[in-house]
Amino acid sequence: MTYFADKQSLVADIFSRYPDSPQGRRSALMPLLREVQDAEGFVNGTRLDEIAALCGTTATEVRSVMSFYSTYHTLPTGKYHLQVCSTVMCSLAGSDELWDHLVETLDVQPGEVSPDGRFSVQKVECLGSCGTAPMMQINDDGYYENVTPSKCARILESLHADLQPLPDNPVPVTVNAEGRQVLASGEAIGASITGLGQLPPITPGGEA
Amino acid sequence: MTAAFPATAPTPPKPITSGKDPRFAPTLYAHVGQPESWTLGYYRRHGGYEALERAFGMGADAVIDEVKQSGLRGRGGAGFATGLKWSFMPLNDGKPHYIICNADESEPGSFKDRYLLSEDPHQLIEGMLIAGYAMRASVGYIYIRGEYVHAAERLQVAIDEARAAGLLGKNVLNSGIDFQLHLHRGAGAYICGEETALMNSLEGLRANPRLKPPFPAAAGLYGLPTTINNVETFCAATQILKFGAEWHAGMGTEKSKGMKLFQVSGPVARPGVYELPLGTTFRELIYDWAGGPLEEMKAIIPGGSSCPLMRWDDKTLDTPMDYESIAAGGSMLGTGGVTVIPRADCIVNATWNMVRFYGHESCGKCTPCREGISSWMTRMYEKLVRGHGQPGDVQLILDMSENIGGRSFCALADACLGPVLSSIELFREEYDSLAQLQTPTYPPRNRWKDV
Amino acid sequence: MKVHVDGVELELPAGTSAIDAVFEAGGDVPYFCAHKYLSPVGACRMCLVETGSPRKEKDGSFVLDDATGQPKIFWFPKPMASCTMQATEGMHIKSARSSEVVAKAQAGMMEFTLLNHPLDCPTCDKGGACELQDRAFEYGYGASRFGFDRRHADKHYPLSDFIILDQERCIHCKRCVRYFEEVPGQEVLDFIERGGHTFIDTEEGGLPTGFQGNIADICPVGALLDNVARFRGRNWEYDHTPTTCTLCSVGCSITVDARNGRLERIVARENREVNEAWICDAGRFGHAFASERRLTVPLVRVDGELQEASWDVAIAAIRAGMTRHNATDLALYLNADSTLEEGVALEALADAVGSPHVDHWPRYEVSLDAMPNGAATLSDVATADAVVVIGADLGEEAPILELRILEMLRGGLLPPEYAHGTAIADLRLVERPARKPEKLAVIGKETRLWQHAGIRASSNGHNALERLSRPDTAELQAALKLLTDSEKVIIILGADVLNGASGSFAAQLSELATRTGAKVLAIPAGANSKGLAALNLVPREGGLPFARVADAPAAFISRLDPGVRARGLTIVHDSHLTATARLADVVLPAVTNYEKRGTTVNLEGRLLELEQAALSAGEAADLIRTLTAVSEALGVRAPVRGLKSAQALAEQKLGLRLGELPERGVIHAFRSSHVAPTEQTHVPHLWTERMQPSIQTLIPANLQPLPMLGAAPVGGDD
Ligand SMILES: Cc1cc2nc3c(=O)[nH]c(=O)nc-3n(C[C@H](O)[C@H](O)[C@H](O)COP(=O)(O)O)c2cc1C
Ligand code: SF4
Ligand code: SF4
Ligand code: SF4
Ligand code: FES
Ligand code: FES
Repeated sequence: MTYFADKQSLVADIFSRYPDSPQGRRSALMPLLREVQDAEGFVNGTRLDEIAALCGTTATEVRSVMSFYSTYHTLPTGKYHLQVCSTVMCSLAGSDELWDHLVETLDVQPGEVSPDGRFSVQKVECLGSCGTAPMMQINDDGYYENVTPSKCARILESLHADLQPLPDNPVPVTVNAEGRQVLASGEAIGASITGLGQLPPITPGGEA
Repeated sequence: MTAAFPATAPTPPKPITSGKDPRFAPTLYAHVGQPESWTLGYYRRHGGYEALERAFGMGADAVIDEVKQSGLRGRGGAGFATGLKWSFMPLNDGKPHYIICNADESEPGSFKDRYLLSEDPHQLIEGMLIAGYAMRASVGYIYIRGEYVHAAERLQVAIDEARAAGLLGKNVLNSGIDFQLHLHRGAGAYICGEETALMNSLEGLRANPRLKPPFPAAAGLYGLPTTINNVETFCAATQILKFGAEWHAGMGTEKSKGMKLFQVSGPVARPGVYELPLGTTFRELIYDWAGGPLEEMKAIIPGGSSCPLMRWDDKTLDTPMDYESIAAGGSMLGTGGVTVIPRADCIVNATWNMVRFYGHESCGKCTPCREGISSWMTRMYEKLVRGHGQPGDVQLILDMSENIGGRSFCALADACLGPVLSSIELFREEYDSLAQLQTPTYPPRNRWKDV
Repeated sequence: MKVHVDGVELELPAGTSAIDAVFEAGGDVPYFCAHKYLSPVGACRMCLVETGSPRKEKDGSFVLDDATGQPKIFWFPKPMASCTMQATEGMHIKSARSSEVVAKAQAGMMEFTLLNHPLDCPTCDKGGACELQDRAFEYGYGASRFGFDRRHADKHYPLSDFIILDQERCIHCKRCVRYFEEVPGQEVLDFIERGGHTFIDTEEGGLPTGFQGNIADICPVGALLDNVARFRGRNWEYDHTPTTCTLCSVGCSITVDARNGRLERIVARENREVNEAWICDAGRFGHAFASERRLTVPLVRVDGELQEASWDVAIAAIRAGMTRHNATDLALYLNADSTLEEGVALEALADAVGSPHVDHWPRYEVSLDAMPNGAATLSDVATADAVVVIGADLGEEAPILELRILEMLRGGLLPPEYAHGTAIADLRLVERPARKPEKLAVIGKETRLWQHAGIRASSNGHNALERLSRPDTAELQAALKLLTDSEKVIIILGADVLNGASGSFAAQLSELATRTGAKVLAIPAGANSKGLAALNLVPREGGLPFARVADAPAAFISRLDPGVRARGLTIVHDSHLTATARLADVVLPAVTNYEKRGTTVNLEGRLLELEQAALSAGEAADLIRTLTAVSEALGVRAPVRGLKSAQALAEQKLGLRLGELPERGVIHAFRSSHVAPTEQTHVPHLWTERMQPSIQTLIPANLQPLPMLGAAPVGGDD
């Protein structure tokens, strides 16, 4: 069974983003890998061949590229693949302890899936959420931030009940509705974008 | 060249170098956090795409001049003059040109682009339209790190909306200009932030950096002229076209002009992203905006983990955050990702984490990085931290660093040496304690707590 | 341009890399990832040098040094990789010879390179010829401060039957990956993972046969090894004989490595003008026959059985057998891979005895030497603007020609040459080069080259040329247009069109060449057909071609295996007991071309020398010596009595000087004066059964099957 056989419009859409040339075809490699992984959870050897054929290259190249990145999997992960940021800012906020806690309570090591098939864990590098450390990502679904011990307990409880909480998207930004930035003291200070003198439009004509 | 907006202000007012200056207004993040800020409707209601119309009215060369005059420098880390970079693109060479937005944001300590992408995607799209127009590029790619799923979804919706509204595609806003914009998702590799590795990744190849020359402006994506800029750089271009080069140049210091997104992480009262003029001090950022440290600190990473550590002291805190002042202080502005490191945390352990990061992210192409950092340096740190240190170890790390520094193929290996060399220089006693007595000055502590 | 290396000024051509500048100045820089025929990538970082350049003021004048008044040299703050740096006018370069910084940087890099490298030298086949071993000795610290456990990985990982990989030894120079991608254009090998975990692997279930063996030559360490030669000997134990491959008409330069009289390994030898640094897998691995089941003594049929005999007894047997024949009845046939000297000797004997039945095989019936625009060389092919290949299966007929065509498709950049040899780093070569398939048209059957061609037309037989002259399909029209519109074009012809081609074909080809300005390269049927065709080695008035050997009254057959005998006395001269030898009355042992001295002529008309490797072949003899014995039996004085006299005769007949040719050979304009019908078609077939490495050599000793299972079928030339 090929994966893309009945998804011609999706494939065409992916190819349409890149030049119509051998180099352009090759650019579809990562998007195609992503499609397979999103649908199947991992990318097996047959899929490598299929993607290679689509991109005009070999399975060797597809594997080479795929293995370069940390988010592609060649083996199935758990239903909830917990990716814990282990880089320095999260580490300073306790991610090492969070990791140990997960490995211990879920009884799963990296590369394994818990016996109930529910959990797998992976240490990942800074996910760009250092202001809300420690944090983790679940599957490809989104970020769970400020994962304190009690929040961690709540998340795990929900996952055990197969009720995945929605990811967080806290925006740690302190510009108020008027467009003024708020100091730590709570005082809004400075000006607002609405008060800036926006320049008048220039009518085209002189220069094209 | 009819720059309709004359650059002749009467007496130049004193430049703005504090976020508390009553004249300073956040623009890049003005709408971040507001409901629906990511929609085209919201964006248009707040003056969206008017900068683009101005740009079309000025003409492509005038746009580049405007950006040059604004003094904008790249916000991706290296701080290269943006207008100058744009002017490197060949004119009328008959070849397709590309522009790429570097949204790989993977430098530990950096998280500013993420919210621009998810909360105000049209600001970026507009900036790329302006840049594409200026550099005669009719195709743009946004290379977004694979883990930014939420931001990628928002961005894709925004691109689709813009396309439906005639802002992308053929004949944008009836200007006769074509501009296509595509999203390309990465898959987890820090090196993809390096511009030539990014192009390889976008071409479906292993993300090893490429040889320079040729530089991207001569032969970049698919071998064609290409310019890569950071998310914040493109967004700043939107604001410059909206409020003028003079407005932008009115902020910051002599050589570091404009506003910058600073990110604060570590144990402070209010970590987050703050938009401040360049030249604002660390002290203002950390105390006035971020609410001050929650415990005693000993070091500051000023701009993402690649930047050498600075000692937490009055001198550092009073250093203005601009490219030159931080360089004079022995470090770099980088991405503006400021992290504070508590006194009670072992600096060798923290540095080990960073070295491990670079070792893990090494692309493996060149020997000093693959072997020196990935294989050796990480283990030297592990050895020290795990209590197996020996007297010559620190000296050996320094000598290895000398054999790595400036000898690698790309800047990743040098980036790793930023924390290594600075932490040894500033906190040698912590290293010596581990090397000679096998005991950390600051033993491990539980940092995972409910607040 | 003037460049200063370690304080010495020298004049260099523009475009020279810094590494070549140092070598040209007589200096040395260690390097691992750079390779003469591959793109420079700057990965190993061993080739560090210090460089500095003068700078110009806005007005174009040099910034001067206040102290000396000379242009001030602005040195880079850090050492730079010299393989990826272009030398520029006025540049100063310091190698380890004059810079402490460089010496330290290189020693440090060597320490990193050796970090994870196992201490295998005593058991490594590369030992003694290992770039890492040599350079570590010259440039290393002598000791590692690493102190941790090395990376462990698969040490015996077969990538194919021919190539075995030791992943621990790999130093990640990427030469092998670049080779496959850049040279044969195959994406079959690449790095997996990244950082310190990076290793080499394939996902193709094995490497494709064709050109894979070259990676064993270019791997700077013992990570990629010739599996056929595995554990057969240490490099210093081998006798290295530089010679020429005669399995096809390309004539690649090779080195034959022999030990204890056995041919153990063949490696490529650089010849810029022929094979650059590459050979094909047949030429490299297909040498089993040279050391296996060799015929070492003459055999004579006694009471219906072949029995071992001395040369004297064999000569007597021939003499006795010839009493039933006239000397003019003895047909003389030789293999077209025989040397020019051997050909001269046979022609002279045929003249002396007056036999009309003379032939060499394989050959075609047509002479295409007199084409209007001159003969095409391999360098012409590589630098052509367009190539049209008609009726050729290059994989079987001339593999390296295929690589030279692919070189043309990626821009045809021949690396420059210096006094120290071919440029070590040619900065014009780039990774993943852009290819121009539209420059190649292939007309004929589907072959490996097909996938690289922008224009492909199926066609059969020799009417392909006629169809090309009057194109009846869009593809043929495109091919003709390519020929007409391009500046420097080459038409390559193979067996499918040359079989049965006649004078009218030549006329038609000549007309097409005139019309399009194309040069013609017809691939000769045999390795030395081009040279032998210049001699009178075809059937004379009333003579029988080789195809009719069964009708010959008597025959002497040298290293050919028609599978039949002549009507009367049949003498076979061969290195193995072939099917024909089994039918013969007298069998004379022959040496292979690896054991000969002499000259061969390749498809360009290039004279190339064969040297004699030290293989045990008992009493086997080359054709010249064998013909001397046959002459004796026939009672005539041998007109040629050795190599020197053959060369003297060749000089007289062909106006050529043989012996002591330059290493890359010399091109001679051959005119094949003698053509005659062949009465059979030539089916090119490069890999013959006897070339296959036997099972024993591929399986480690501890896993060897029982001896009787390992025995391959005996004999058989094809
Ligand atoms: C190892 C490495 C990682 C980098 N990562 C990023 C990144 O994540 N985002 C970014 O914008 N620039 C990154 N850069 C810098 C880019 O190479 C490039 O300079 C930048 O995108 C140019 O944009 P700018 O001129 O707008 O700053 C990185 C550079 C290096 C050497
Ligand atoms: S320094 Fe070398 S190995 Fe490290 S990321 Fe750059 S090119 Fe790759
Ligand atoms: S296997 Fe050999 S040629 Fe290939 S990368 Fe490793 S060391 Fe280089
Ligand atoms: S191409 Fe021909 S001459 Fe060269 S190695 Fe192969 S068989 Fe021998
Ligand atoms: S360090 Fe964990 S998100 Fe940045
Ligand atoms: S970097 Fe490898 S030879 Fe120059």
